[in-house]
Amino acid sequence: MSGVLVWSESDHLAEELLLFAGAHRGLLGPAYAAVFGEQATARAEAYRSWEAVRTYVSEAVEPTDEALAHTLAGLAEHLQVQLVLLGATRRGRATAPRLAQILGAGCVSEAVELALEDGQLITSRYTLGGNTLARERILTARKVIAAVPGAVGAAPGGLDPQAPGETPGEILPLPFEPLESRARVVRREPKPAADADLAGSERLVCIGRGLERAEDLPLIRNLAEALGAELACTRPLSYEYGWLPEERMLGISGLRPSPRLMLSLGVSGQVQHTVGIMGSKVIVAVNREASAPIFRLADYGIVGDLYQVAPKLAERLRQRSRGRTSDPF
Amino acid sequence: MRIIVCLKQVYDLAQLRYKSDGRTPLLEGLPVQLGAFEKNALEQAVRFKEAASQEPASEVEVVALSAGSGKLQETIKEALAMGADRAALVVDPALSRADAAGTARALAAAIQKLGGADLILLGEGSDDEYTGQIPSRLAALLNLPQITIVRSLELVGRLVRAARDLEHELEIVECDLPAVVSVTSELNSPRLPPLSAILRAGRKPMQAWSLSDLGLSADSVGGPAAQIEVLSNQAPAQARKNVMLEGEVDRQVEALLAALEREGVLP
Repeated sequence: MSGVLVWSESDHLAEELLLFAGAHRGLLGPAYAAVFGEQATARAEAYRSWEAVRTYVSEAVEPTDEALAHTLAGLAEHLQVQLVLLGATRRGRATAPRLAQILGAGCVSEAVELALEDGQLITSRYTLGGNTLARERILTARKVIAAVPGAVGAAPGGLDPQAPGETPGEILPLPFEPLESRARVVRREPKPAADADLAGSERLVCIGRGLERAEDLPLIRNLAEALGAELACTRPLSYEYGWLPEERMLGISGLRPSPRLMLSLGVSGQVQHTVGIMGSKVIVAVNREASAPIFRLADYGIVGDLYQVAPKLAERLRQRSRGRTSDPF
Repeated sequence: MRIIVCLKQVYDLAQLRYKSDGRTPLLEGLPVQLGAFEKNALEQAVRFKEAASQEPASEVEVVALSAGSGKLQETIKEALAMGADRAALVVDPALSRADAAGTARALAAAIQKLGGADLILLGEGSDDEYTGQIPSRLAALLNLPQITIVRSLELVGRLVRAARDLEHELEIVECDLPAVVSVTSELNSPRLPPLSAILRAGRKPMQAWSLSDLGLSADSVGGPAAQIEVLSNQAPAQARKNVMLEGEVDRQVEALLAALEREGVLP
């Protein structure tokens, strides 16, 4: 049993995982890929230069967890691979454990780090509500891992896809009929396009239930503007109160961005939220309750009233920027 | 119709403390409670039951199922107070050492012992472990279709229709019962049971099995069956600075500005 099978609905994530597999082919064996769905054959063309010796394509696989898991299990058996690497999109995360169960494999379904150490695959994932990072090793001979973007780091040594002596990979049809899925996708509803790019923002101001009324939002917007930050929020403010759109919600079911500065105001620090802010470089928390869990995750904490801190901070930030741009003469 | 809701007893992480190294979590003695995601699943089941009671010749039974150890009997009462008709528990010390695959095996055996279900509802992950593997593994073990990451759900006769909350779209998926469905916290707002329901909860039927009652050996679920070895589990090494800025508001804000300037994160 040798080799790696890679699948992700995101071609970009598949590329990352294939380059990782290719860079470690001495230990892991050959890399194979699967491409399903619309335009599968056209999309597979690019996979040939991403270290996939063979790419299997099918446009007939229903994108349900069950059909994907059974199809990938069939391919894993056909190729006798020891590792199936999936992109940890939400669909990938849900598919991985079913695939693992079929293969009798151990599974890590949301690896934020994946590395080979002394010839062993080691994964890390957040647990205890994002408070701790568990380093784990899968003990079964066959392994299934779903990895988030960036989990494998940059490809070591910058792989040259046109390295001499290497021939581009083959594209082949799926060697069996895909399973008929009992669940059926009947419709897709695109989510409204986000009016802001939170994922790409350097600074975020995140507001929680410490904000008492929707009418007080301008106070926070004013601070965000002074800081050159985008506005984000916890789940209750978007989903329950509807004060801000869900595209601005951070947490397990929302965004998990990696800004340089996260200024958290009136956020208690519930587990489901904090997972969404762990990637921030610097976290500042302002909360009235000294015992709020958010302070454990903060680099700088202020026990205080956001209604006093926010306007004061906005005012001082504006003074600072005026001071820097004013003419010294 | 029978709906089985799989519920997990989780640690109350708001009370999580660390050893003196500041990184190693202290789980011993940490209070336990019913998981939050599971309450969304249970709320949905109870709403289906309430809707069915309005119609002639349709009845829904809601069974709260949980596998674990320790204070499970006490914890599950909240599910009964929220509206589950009865509770079925798998209580065994071996379950405290079970990973996702082992726990799924115990749940699957219990569901078979209960005679199966039309609909099996779960949270998409647990508050504490958050492996997110149980729904998919359970569906595979029971050879049932699955719909995961569901934020809205309806039953139309024997058809279940669900909206999956994917990154850029809602994916509307249908399938015939029986099925396994995992839900997100966006599905609903779980009810807070009134005192009268809490008092009644203690009188609802509760059955408890050990692993051997289900024909499972402890070794096939816990310790030796583990597929995952945890090498370490600590707060990340780049721990936060945890600097508390003291004084009056003016002083706090000045100190914060200076700190952010030093960090180089201001525009």
